[in-house]
Amino acid sequence: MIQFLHIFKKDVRRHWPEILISLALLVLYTRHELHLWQLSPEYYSISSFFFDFSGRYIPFFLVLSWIFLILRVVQGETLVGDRQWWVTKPYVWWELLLSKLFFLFVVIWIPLFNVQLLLLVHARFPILPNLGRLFLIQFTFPLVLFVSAVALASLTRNLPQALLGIGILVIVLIIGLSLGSLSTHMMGDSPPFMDSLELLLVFGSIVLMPIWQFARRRTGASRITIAASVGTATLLSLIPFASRVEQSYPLLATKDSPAQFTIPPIAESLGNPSGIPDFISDTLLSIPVNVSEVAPDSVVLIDGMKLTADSTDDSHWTRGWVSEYRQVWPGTQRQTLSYVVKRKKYEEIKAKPLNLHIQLALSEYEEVQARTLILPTAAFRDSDLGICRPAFIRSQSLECRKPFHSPAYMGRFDAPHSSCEPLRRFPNEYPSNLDVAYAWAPPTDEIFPDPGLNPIVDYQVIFNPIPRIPDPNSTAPVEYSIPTLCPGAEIRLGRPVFKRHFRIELELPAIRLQDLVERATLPSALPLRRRASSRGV
Amino acid sequence: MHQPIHTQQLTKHFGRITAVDGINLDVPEGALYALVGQNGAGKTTTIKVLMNLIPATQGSATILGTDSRNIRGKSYAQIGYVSENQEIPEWMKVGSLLEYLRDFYPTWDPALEQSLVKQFDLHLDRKIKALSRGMKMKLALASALAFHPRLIVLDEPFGGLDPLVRDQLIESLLERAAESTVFISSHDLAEIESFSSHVGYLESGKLLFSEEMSSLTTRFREVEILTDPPLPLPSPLPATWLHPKSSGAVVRFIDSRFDDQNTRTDIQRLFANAKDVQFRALSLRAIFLAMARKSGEV
Repeated sequence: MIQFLHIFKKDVRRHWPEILISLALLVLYTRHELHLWQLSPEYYSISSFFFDFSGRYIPFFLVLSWIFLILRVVQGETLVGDRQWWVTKPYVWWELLLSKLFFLFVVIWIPLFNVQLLLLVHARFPILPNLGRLFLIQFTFPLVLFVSAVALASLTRNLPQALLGIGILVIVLIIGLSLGSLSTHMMGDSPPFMDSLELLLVFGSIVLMPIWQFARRRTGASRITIAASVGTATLLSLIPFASRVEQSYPLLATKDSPAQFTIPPIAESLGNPSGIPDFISDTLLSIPVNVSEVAPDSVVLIDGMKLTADSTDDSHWTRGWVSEYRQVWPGTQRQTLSYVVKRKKYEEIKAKPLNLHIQLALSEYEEVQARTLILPTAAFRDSDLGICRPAFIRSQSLECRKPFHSPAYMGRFDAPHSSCEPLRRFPNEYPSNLDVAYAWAPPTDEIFPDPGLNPIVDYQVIFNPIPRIPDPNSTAPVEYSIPTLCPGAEIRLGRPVFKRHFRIELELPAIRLQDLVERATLPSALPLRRRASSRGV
Repeated sequence: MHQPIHTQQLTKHFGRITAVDGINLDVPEGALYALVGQNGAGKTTTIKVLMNLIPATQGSATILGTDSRNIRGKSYAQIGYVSENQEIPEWMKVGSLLEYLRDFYPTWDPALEQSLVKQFDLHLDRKIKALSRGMKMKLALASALAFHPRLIVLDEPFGGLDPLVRDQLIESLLERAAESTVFISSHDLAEIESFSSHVGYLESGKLLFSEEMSSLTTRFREVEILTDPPLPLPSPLPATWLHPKSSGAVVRFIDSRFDDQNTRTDIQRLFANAKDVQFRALSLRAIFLAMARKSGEV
């Protein structure tokens, strides 16, 4: 018999209890996923606890059972040490490796693939047009999981060692995240080659080192190589690329900007705002920005922000570029920018009058192929959105499902002109404009599926009301309205197309940081006084 | 024709510790070679390097004509390796282990397997986990012999076994000796002496000697000289005379390069007053004790 099949047979005979456990969990997972879309409100109320519980924990235990199975089967012929019995038998290394991969293929991957086919068919999506991406989805979460587990198993001798390895990995991640919080960063500020290099280092090492380990059993060298690769990738990911942000987002003059931004007068805090609890190590600054003149059928996203503070004594301070995620729609009047300052620095400069120089990195998207969708009473099929239905409870969202990834969309719902009754709450200090609500999902790489086990992606198209500026002279409670969708509602749907990145500058002269502190961190009764002036550039 | 085992300046360091120190070793075809030495002398490390279980720091070794660094996979179809430290898959039954191994070896001999199972009184339906240490060693040996290996490497195979099991294992080894070269490590000299054709002595990682057993026992003699009148030991004595002692009229030493005529000539030259000279053969144990004491003196 071919050697890898011979070893495979032995492994199946040995690990049948673990195989049964993982298959049982896969059955439970399938049952849960099959019922996900079929739930009625009654089912929700009666069995919601069990359903939530199983939904939350079964995938976790399923993945855990796979990791356990992979560890057990690879460590059955452990590659670590010099006392293993099999090492002095005529095992051919690549046949041994092949037998382990074949085991994963037969025992984990084939059942999972069949479950994915079943979920696809059950969700009423055809198999043939989706088969290619069904194969592609195997290269996302399952591949990363299996490769990582095989790497861990090939570099550890037994389960306790593997757990120790996971523990070390968690510590490395925590250190990486801590270092990340020390450095400033903006999503996507690193050059593409750097992302590829980081991916190559991490994924390359966890693919190649186990192969080398199977071929030569050089545990120490393999461990060091993986640790060095992951460490290098972590350090590379921490390098801020401010100049790249400024290259990617060219500076525009105010008149050329597709949206106008100005900073409104800032209310001066009269009390002592140092009432922030001592254990909070960061201070959140909130900078309100008035917005206008966004072109119809377009949206402007605030991707990042850089704040530079100059004081009268010529001191200069900045944290560099940090990520933001705000949408500016036609009709949006106000957005609030958030900026985190280390507490120590804040306490040092909070009362000094500073000149703040704010740069915003922005992206503009345009709507194309717009159409009107009239919501039916029941679930419906849409070429872009997949299969959708209004949420059970009266809400501002549609529940949708589509194979492999949620689509990019720009949605607009004209609430006042629909027969749907809005939800109202008041008072609220963040009022909304009932005139119109927008829904948004950015364009993604549509070829590659979202990572996950289930090929069906459940997502919500949420229509959010846009913020508006409260009337400063009104003493009446402000109405906070949420638009709700109902059968017959007209929704305008289009596809977003990226138009350009750009950057603008704003000046906020003679401001004290304590006047910008997030109100939630201040004592609620703090008196506020309106400041005299501030301006946009 | 390659020698089954050949090493050249084979060295293995663990950090600052030198476990194997520049070993030059030749094991001829068909030999039953015993590598002996005290615990910690470097026997197991040497074997692990030869079997490519751990890499050498310096030097080289060839096993059945193959560089030891390339000993893996199919190379083991010709090598039967058994070690007291090996971790046999204890979840298997005796029968299923032998059945599993059959497919790995093109030369596996089912008749020989049957014969070994019978000879070692192995119960095929027993779980390996439930076997005694002796039975596990028998099973390991059966699995290492059933495919007619060209080279059998045994690392301390008899440690802790009762005499009956030990004799059974030795007997089966001797039956295979005609078709295989056997390389065995042990610190028990008595058991080795009875069947080894060649012997090597390892001390603190150094191979002090490596030769045929008959030549070894021939060249070591205890020499006793009766002198009259008693005189102090002359100086210098030949370097090959180990542990010389004078007690009244009697001088005793061990000649490690004994040759009847040359030794007598040396004695006449150094002890003109010698009245009587006697030569006694030494057991392997006495030879190693003498060697060990000599290296301790150094």
